[in-house]
Amino acid sequence: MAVFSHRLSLVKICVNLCNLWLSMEKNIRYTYRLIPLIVTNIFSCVLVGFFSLNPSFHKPLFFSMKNEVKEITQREKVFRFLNLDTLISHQVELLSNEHDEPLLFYAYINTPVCIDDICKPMHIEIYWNLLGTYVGYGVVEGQPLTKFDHDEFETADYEKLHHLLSNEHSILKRKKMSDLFDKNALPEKEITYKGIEVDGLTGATKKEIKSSVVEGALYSCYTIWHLVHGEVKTKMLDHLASIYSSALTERFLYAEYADYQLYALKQMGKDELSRYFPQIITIFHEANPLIRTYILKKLPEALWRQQTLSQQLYHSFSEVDINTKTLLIKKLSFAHPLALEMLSIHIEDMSRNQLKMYLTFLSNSEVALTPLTKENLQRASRSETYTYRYLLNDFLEKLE
Amino acid sequence: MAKTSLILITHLFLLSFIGLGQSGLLIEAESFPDKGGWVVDPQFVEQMGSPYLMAHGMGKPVAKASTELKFDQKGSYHIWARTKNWVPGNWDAPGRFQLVVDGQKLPNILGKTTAWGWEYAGIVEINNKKIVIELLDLTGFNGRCDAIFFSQSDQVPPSSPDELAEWRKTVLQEVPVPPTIKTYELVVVGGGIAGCAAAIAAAEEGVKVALIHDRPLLGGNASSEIRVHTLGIYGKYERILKMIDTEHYPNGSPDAKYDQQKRGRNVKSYENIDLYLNVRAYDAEANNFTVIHVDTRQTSTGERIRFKAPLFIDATGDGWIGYWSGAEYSYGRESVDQYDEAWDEWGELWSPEEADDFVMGSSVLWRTQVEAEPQVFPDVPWALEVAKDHEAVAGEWYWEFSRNDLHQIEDGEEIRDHILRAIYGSFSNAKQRPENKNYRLQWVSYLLGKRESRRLVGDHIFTFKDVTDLTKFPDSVVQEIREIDVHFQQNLEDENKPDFLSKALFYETEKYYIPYRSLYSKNISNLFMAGRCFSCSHLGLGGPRVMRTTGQMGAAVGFAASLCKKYGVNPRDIYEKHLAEYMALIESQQWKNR
Repeated sequence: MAVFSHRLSLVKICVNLCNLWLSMEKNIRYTYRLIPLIVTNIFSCVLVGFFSLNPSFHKPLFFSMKNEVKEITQREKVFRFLNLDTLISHQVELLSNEHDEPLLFYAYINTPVCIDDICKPMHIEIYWNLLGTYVGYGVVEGQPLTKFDHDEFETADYEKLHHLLSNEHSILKRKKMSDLFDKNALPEKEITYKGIEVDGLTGATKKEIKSSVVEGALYSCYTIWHLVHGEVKTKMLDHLASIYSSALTERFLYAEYADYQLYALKQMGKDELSRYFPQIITIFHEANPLIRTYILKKLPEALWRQQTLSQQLYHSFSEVDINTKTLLIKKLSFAHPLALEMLSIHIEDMSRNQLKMYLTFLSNSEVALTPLTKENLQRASRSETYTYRYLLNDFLEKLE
Repeated sequence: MAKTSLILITHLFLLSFIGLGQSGLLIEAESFPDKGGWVVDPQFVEQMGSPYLMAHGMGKPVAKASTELKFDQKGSYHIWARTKNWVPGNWDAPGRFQLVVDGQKLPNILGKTTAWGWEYAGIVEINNKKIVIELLDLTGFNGRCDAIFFSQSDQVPPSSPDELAEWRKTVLQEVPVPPTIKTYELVVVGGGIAGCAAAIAAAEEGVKVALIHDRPLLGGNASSEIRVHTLGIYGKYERILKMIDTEHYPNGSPDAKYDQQKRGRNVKSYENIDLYLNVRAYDAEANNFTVIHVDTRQTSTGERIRFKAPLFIDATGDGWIGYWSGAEYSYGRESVDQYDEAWDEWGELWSPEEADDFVMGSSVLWRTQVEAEPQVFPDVPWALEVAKDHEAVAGEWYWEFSRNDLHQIEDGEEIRDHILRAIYGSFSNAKQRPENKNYRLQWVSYLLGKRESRRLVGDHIFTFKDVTDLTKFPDSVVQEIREIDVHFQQNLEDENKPDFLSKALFYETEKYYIPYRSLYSKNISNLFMAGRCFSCSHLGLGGPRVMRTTGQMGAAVGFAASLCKKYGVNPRDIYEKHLAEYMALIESQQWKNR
């Protein structure tokens, strides 16, 4: 916000210079008429230039990433996008640091919010990450957010808006503006259905919309949500693709953001997977199941056959989620034979079908069961607390 | 006299499902004439061998089931019950029961061993020729009994599925061919919305139809036993679909019974439809890529019927008729590139780079009631491993379970049981709060509401690309405007979320069309399919799986079947030789009066 108080100072200076000029004698004015204008221009350029370099230029009210805002030193206009409802186009900028590394997308939005032809303006600054995912917003000094009855937002309202904008799956996504005042919608008491509770109806309900937006600012919330999550995201992704480089691959892979990591993984070819596999293993251990699945599916066969990779993946078998466990077992056909023995330690962490799959691999393996594998299976088959020991017993009997 | 005859006939029926072999008597539990509070569960026959009785008491022990048995020989009999502990672990088995033989409760508690198997109930002296056998439920938590075997030998009956099946046939003296053979012009297997619509459409055009359904009530997922409301538009079939669809009550509402009554009344009003309820198909045979018969069994009595017809409609959901007759089918998610089905916004959650086995999950709906007095709910330690600390006093569509090591057909029982644990555990957690003390469970389905499993392959595979392209086919017979609605499990994005909750992704679309060529098998010449087993990709199923849309498919194939009968041709010939007449029929039937 500092920049705006400085802008006000700048305006004051300009006004004072103009007043000075106007107060001059007419004949002197014409002689020196250009001087105040030149001085004003030089002064403004210096100030604007100064603040472009100032890292505290951006101060969002909410920001869900780390220190990216503090690193911003450059801004570049990259594209405009059109809001089809208002026919207003908005400028999107790419914010970068001093090393020319792109950090965030940004737009200063000045848009009307209209109900029944009555409109009021809304000013808001939006920040997206490089994948077009909303990560924060700021308000413009002197232009607080207001509800439709002109009450200003309170602290809780600002928080609620951030929470709403952070929800890509919001109920607002499926709704048209006209749905927001659906006269045919069930009244509240019918939603609880004659005293018997239902945990929400299929699709949207008035209750669900109401609880997700700022009270009294439904239309503002709807408008800004759709701007933030609309076609602008596709344009951002297109722009990212146009500037994507191996440097960005590395940055994304080592970033602490799951979506950046997944994006990098998706762009990678086999050679890069090999080169970066220590970091990929780190990501695998910490990532959500979706990313783990993606990694396991994408790793090429040749990598699976490497002992170190297999060791590192199968070592963490008991810590990963159940779907990842299933995939690890399915990949035994590619994995280094050591993996078969490693999994024998984790028999009791397997579901019934996982155990069946694993035993099938053991049966079909060209490599004989190691003594340690047999020992682990036998121990598990004697464990009274192990639910599926009957499957192990059948298998061990057939072995003999 | 009439009463004696009735008892005699009942006993003859019983004897038909009581086998004598190995000096023993096998009685199928589902054939007990008095089931008390136990229910017949026929969903998992193909996996565990038989329908079974289940004590679905939601925590309150159910009334005894009973039957009378006639013994030729007096003496000592060993008794085994085929049962299982449906949640093995370090706790008392949830579904425990005992046998009562002629008023004597056998001390062995049953329902304790992992996996379906024979548990020893005890040994009794049989002195009378006729004795009463009862199943005494102890917990109200889904104890299950498939069969009871009395034997004077101490040899346990076989356990392995193949051996058990053969032994059962021997003991029950089942002949290879079902003793009753019925012939129709069209056999519709599956009485969900698609099957009902197909039967009605064909019947209206003068076709003699057998409609076979494995439950006592028609409707499938829309029946009052599962209670999912119907969604989607009517297309050209408003007249027919309004006879069988539902109002938009909340999923799980008891108001489902009104639409249930309407559906039953309307389907039964057609003279051309012979309705076979509580009858489940167990096999289909094809000769030269043509289905020649479908074999069925009554889910309680075991009575078998073979159905023959020139034409068959597979409306089973799981695509069983197609599967048994050798039709091509698919299961799981295709790679995004196979049919160009990307939606970049959602990436892998929508469509994966590499194909996998994931399908949308099944749901079990449930409801609670607030009473005037506090209601006690038993402790359920066996459920908390699934529910963890989740609390709920109501369920909805997003109580949905899919996991990549579980197959929606082959592991259906485990999936159903997992969701029951989720429900009982979450409700139990909620009941710890004082404000919930007056809640009780009003209704919990025990039938799985499946969304996706096998998809049979037709001449056209309907895909998400057909939606994004808004393709108009020359044989467009189904139309829809509802969003493409595909689910994923919540724990994919955050592994700390419960594994039994899902989220939906909605792709909004303008009107899209499904062609007739997606409604008959590519390689089995006389087989139609309608419903969620129609010819589509995983994403292609996302939109049309709702029941007015599947109903449209049913009506479309019912009308096609009538033209097949008229010309003596197969389904593909309607597209190749009689398309104009077929499309005209679909138009004109909209204004038909009955």
